[in-house]
Amino acid sequence: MIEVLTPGALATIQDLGRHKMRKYGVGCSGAMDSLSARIANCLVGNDANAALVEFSMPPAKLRFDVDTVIALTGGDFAARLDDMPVSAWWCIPIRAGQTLHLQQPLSGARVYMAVAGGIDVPVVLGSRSTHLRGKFGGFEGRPLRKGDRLMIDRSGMKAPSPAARKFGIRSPFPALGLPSGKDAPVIVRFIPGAEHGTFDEASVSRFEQTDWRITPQSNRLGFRLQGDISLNTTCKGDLRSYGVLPGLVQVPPDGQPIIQMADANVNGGYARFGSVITADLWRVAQAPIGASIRFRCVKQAEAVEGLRELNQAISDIEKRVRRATDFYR
Amino acid sequence: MGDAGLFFDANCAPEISVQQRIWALDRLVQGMPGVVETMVGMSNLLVVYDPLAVDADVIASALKSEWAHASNVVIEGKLVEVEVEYGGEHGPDLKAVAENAGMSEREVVDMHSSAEYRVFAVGSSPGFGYLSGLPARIAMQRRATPIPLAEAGSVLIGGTQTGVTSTGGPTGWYVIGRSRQRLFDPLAAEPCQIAPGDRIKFVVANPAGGRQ
Repeated sequence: MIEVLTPGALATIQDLGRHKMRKYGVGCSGAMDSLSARIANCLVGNDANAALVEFSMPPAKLRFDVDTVIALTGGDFAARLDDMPVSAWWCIPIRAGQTLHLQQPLSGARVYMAVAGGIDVPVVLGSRSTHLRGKFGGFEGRPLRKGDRLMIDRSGMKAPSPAARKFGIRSPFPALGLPSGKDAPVIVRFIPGAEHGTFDEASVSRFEQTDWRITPQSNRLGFRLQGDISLNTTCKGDLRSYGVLPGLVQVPPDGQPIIQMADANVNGGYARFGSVITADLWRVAQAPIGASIRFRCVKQAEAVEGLRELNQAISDIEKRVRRATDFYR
Repeated sequence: MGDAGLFFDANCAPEISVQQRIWALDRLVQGMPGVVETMVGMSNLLVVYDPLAVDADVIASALKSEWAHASNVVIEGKLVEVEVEYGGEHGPDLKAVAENAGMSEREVVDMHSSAEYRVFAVGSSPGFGYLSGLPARIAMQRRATPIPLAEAGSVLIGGTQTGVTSTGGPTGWYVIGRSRQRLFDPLAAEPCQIAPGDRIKFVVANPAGGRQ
């Protein structure tokens, strides 16, 4: 059991998302940065889709009452186990009674904590992810609170035993081109959307030259961006309601774009400028409030190639980790 | 839409004949290789596919050819009755809707509960149906500023549409009543009681919850 001493803002239980439920009006939810979530699970020997904790804002504190193994991936929230600093992207053996403390956001926007076996919450509509609007899935359908007790699913325990040696990997972020400095903009690729042609020439040409700042009104639903230009479309008023996928870049009447994220509504009505490609959604997820995003227009072929490369990078890491686990077992 | 979605648009107002064809198209594309799921919109359809399994062009041309067949498929839908406690604490905006229509509250309730509605699309929130068929007389332009919370089960009027919520949340529509029924229950064997093409009748419930 893991007791939540301090949850931080919007800590939720997620897996890789709830799929094929759009027909009921239910969106996918799931880890915002699925790359980091998958690797966290891999480091502790879980299936890629096991439930884990997504932290959005420290400080957070958890106390373990069992011996186990955890892994922290994603951003760097200056984690300490009792008084010892612990590295992200490492497998961390835990003894009963120890306290994990995520102190402050040093880089990135989300930290994933996987526990060997996975967090034991019920599967609802095919997923353990929290659906905040519907108040179901995850831990009682809501963000974690002080005093919550998270159970660990020990039935599926595979690879590393709690006696496993410490091991880890280097953060894959630099190799995947994610800037480590706070000032460098995050580059994300997009494909033009259905109403792209209705935006005026200045909007289209300056869109890619603009540093789009992530405003504080950004969360799991969507990232509201602000730039020094306004995107103008001849599309006035709401469009006929259409289906939305995460990554969609919509432009409301104020001309400042919104990127729809994991908890996005299943449909919308604003003009569609484009969509962030699937392979780059994790980059957006790891961009903190105040950071800037730069867009680069690509074609479908490059988007698909990007997805293949990302999947290849993840499966390479998974293979390396599995080899290390076999070695230490 | 992006690298994993294809957007099919009939490019016209969502009249029943067009929407009927969208529902049919939706059925025809289910099970097509590489198709993950679909989402019916207002005279449009979003097809979510796996771009690593199938080429976008293949889905696009399949959609075009199925659209031709779609006009031959008629979807009757099933009838779903929804009991509603209108007005009072359950429908704080019934009075405003009545005033806007120049009718009594009773007349609004009679009009709202005697029409038969069609589920044009499901979305916005889990189990929420976009219903057509609201008598024009009781239509009412949406609020300029949304209210922060309409409870689960709220029966709403917004513009020329009406609907009933299954989850609590903010809304720009007017709350005219409340139902104890939930058209969506994530834990039920059949999680959603409505699908595009279904018909809905609102039935007046007495305050004790039974029918009058």
